[in-house]
Amino acid sequence: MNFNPQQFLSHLLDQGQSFLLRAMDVGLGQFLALSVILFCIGMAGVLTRRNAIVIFMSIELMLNAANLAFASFAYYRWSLTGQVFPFLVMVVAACEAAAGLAIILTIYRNRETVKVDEFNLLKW
Amino acid sequence: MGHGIFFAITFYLTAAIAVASALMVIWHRNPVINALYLVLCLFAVAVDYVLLHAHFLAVIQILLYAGAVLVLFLMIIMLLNLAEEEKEKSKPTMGKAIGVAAVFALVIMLTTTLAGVKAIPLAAQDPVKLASFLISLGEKPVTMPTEAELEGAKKITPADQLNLARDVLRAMLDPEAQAYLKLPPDIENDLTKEKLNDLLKTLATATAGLEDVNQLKPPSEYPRFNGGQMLTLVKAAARGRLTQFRELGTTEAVGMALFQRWLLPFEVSGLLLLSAIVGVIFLARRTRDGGIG
Repeated sequence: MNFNPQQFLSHLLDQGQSFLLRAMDVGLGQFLALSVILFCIGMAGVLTRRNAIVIFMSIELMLNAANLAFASFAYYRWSLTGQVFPFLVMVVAACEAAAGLAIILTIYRNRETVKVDEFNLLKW
Repeated sequence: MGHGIFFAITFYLTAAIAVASALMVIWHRNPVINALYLVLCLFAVAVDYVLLHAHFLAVIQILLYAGAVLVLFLMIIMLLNLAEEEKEKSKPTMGKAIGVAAVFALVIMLTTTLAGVKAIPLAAQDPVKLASFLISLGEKPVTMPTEAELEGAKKITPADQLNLARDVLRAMLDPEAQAYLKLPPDIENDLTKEKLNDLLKTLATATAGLEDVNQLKPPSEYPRFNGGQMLTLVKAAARGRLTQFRELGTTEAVGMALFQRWLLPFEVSGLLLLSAIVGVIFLARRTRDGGIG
């Protein structure tokens, strides 16, 4: 078998073109992939950061990624149900942010810190 | 559903912005900058909502997150004196490394699986095809047909028509879709909800042995109807389905869904907000001696 550079090049071009065509056809899969990536970034934030406020922001990111998955399913199934649930998730996110930040504020008044590994009131 | 190059470019652009700013949210050491990057990420996702026909959701996302939640975050950050916290560099630990590796593995696993997910290939889920179907039956679709639809109408064969009729009738079994079904009075008067469902189901299976949509006959249990009325039913179903797609995500449609089908969850979430307000005020207020509560 001889190596033919020209043939190889045209094969590469064909492959690239078909990949581009497939990538340009944005569908449910691409939206779900974006949602997964955002969710996992939020999860990484929760796992690695120690500032309680940044952890809350990461949780907001995760909830938002879930909303994106809901909305993309709603569009690709032509169903409104998937657009109603993000509202409920947003309400929960708002409640959680308000209550969580109030708790952080209270802890800060007592401990002068917002680092989660220094919150050890319940430890004995 | 083909969307065209504008859709794809917008999607990839906003996806890149969303991912980059989400990474900055968890990387940057200054909480104020984190919060501002979170706003950017949420705005990019709001653009994706617009692409997904969730217009009302996109507006609420900007109003609620950028307007309310982020202001709350920034206020708390500025209320607390975090200057000293920022300076402390956190050293990488074993646990952190394991956490990041696990998250990375999860991203690879889930994206490779989910990127292959395709929407259900129902013919009744392609607006252009539905519009061409209506044109090929000699009907006008809900909006003015585009050139692609006029071109597609010529390509629809009798076999395609039968497939589309079956898919449309099946899609109409969904109560959410039935809300958009506008029937002429001579058909509607004879049908209760159960009868309509039964008729749609029987008609959908009856398309199997036919060669032409015009041969569609009413089932023997419904002697009052004639074939022409059945064709009218198919057309009305296709038109209803198109209306459903066109109104997906508008304020009116979402409001109807929230106040009719999902009224109880909506009210319960209102109650949740109320209790959160009361709880937050209780937590955050100062007593005269400086204690909690």
